[in-house]
Amino acid sequence: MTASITTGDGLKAIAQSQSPGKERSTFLRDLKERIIVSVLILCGFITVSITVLIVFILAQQAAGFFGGGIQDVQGREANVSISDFLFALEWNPLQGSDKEFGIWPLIVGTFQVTIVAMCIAIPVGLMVAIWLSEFASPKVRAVIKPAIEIIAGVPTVVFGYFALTFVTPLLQLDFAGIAGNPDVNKANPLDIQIFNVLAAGLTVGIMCIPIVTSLSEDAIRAVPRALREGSYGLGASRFETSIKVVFPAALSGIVAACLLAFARAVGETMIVAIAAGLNPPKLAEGLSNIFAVNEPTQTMTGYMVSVFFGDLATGTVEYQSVYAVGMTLFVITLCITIVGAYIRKRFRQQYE
Amino acid sequence: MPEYQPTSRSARRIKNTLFQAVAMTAAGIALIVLATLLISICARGFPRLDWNFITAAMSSDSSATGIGPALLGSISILAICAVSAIPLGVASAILLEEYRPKAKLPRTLHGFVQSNITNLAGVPSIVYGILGFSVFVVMFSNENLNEPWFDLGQEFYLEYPGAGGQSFYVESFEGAPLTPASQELASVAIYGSLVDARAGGPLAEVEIVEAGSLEAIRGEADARLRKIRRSMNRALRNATTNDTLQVDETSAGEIAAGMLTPLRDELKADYEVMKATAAEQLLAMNGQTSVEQLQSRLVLYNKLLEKEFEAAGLRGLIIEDTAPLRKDVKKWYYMQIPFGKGMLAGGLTLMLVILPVVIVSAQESIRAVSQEMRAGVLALGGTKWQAIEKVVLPAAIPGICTGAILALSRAIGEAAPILLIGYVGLQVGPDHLMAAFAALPLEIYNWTSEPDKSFRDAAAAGIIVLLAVLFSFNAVAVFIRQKFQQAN
Repeated sequence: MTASITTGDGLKAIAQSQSPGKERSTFLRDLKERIIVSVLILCGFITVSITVLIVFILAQQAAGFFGGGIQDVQGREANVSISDFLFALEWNPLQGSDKEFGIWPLIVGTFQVTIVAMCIAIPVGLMVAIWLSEFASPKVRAVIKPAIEIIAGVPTVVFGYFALTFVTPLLQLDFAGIAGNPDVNKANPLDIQIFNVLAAGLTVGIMCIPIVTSLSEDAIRAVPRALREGSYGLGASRFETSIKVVFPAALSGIVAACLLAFARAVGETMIVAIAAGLNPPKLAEGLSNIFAVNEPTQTMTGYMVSVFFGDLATGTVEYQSVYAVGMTLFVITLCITIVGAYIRKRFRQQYE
Repeated sequence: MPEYQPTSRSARRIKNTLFQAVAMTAAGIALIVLATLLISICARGFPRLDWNFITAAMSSDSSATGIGPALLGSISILAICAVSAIPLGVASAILLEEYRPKAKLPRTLHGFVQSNITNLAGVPSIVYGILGFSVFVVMFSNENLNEPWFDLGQEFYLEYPGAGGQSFYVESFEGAPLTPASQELASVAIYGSLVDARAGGPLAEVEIVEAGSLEAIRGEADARLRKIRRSMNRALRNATTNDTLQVDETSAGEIAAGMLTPLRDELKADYEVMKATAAEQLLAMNGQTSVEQLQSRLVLYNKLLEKEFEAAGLRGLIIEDTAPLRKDVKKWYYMQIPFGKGMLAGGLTLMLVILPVVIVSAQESIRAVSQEMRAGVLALGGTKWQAIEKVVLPAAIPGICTGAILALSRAIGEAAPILLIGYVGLQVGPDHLMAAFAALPLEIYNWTSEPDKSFRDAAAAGIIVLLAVLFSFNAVAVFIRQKFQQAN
């Protein structure tokens, strides 16, 4: 064999032979490949169809809500026009005979909670992020970062419990209430009610801290070392370097992180359902109600929970209103997410 | 051009230190809040937490209520969620990472899908709840959920009350007429018990007796039941010293004989068998305390009962002209369309919530596998799928697992998406795919928002269980990550 190869005859023989080794069926192999790719594409298709379905179902059901011809719980014909929904300032779908479906009180309620939350989450989250990446030693960072991320793993219903049974009594300065027996003669200097914006907002803010921290820390750490070295070389302190060099360089990532936390706070459900109450701010009675953070409010998500957890018949106008509210919520959070993704992509600094 | 203003060195240093102090305080506050949360919940929940709380069903009495069905429900929907989300997510991730198209149109589509998934991660979970309800529970229709247009895995039985408290089950079909016993029984198979019937067990011989003698038969059966129980308890009490049962082979035989009623002559052989059975069971109970005996006493009682009934000719009697009851048995894989408010709908809704998370984390770990390893397989003549199957996936598995476990730990704590699908206050856990389920987060929410504040202690205890499950999930994820980081 060896001899014939060297002469070239054998090589020719091998090349001409029909089965040089074990014959492989390329047909079967290609078929398998094709089947697998089709299965993968099917899976991808299912994933995409989820988004399409969300939009489709919300739109379809919301159209049913606005289309008229549906009855309310008392059996009367109810007609809600889109302009009423989008521009009226009264939201009173469940009680009384005069039902009002103006979405603004719910949107304002949502933003009351969200803005209180962001007042906590953004400053605390950003400071922790800068401290972790610029100041803390690797050992401290290895302990603190996972500890902060534990907060992100706590279910929101647990935070809701915490808001109602701890934060609210704390704000009321009712220390017996924290232990479980509310004090009738509590100090309560801010006149905080049992359900209020402040406790819900603060708790949502705490929940959002790890989102801000970990995403903006990633952005800050992605800033190349050379920029920092340059700044130190010019004699800047750590603080000056962080604020004047690193922070601006990571700004797109930081803004995106804050927007993501914002979207999460807008969509946060269980905390507000438990701790914020059932009464959206009465905008029609004066816009100053927006600032009454000691009073109960209701967010879009909170309204949806109150309907889901009650026992309204499907198909009534009260029930269908959930889809219109859900659609509004979806559009708002989607816009925030898309803006965040755009900012991160468009304004990302490329360092080589 | 701003004018150069020299700042004093000490002022800059103070600023630096001040910022560091403030930032450390911020981190400290976040951690203190976390600690406060855990401590305040533990302080309220621990006194309520015991084995009984974990297994008991929900009750309207706040001191007796438990999380048994809710825990079972949560675990079941989590299993469904894992089984559906992980394959779907990993497959989508492979598609997105490994099969990047080059042509213009598919590439646009690919980019669209990718940004879609990123955006899905920001959708509030309650919106997924609406989606899950509309898609899985009602399947786009608003028709009556109690009358599905397709179902599979359901068995129908007619239950005939028999003598001595026994029931007989006759296989049937949906909507079978409830005719009295004597008209139906000739043509159908009769089974001794539902358990036997479902396992395809042996047929029992069935004799139909006249309705007139019903009272007499009941009376005899009940008398025998009482007698067995009484004589058994007496015999066991006599053999007990210091709260433990002490028997040997001879005394076991004597006790067994004391427990049994002597039978008619033609049944002497049966009597010996009964005695031997009872003695054997008694020996097995040797040395047990009265608490430990509870289970084995029941076994003994049932054995004696069965033999006694057989001996008295009471087994297999159905009273004539008694109307049966309908009894539907749903197998664990019972399937109906639309799904209705059940476990499958709940699990799949949770799948929707975590799917984007699973996909993104799987993509990241697949991307982390170096390009050279893929090129190596292709250079050896392997196909693309062979490269993925043999090289990429094994290298990416730890990352995929970590991501999937973290996603599941998110799913188990989610209450919002299953608000519309789950129930609270169920007495039993789910037993088939379409069964109504309770879930732990829902139960906690329900207890917290209960006007009766005494339920909040139970809520705290439920939260401790939920957090314990969750943190053990996270611990497994961290363990996997650590282990494989060291290996690489």
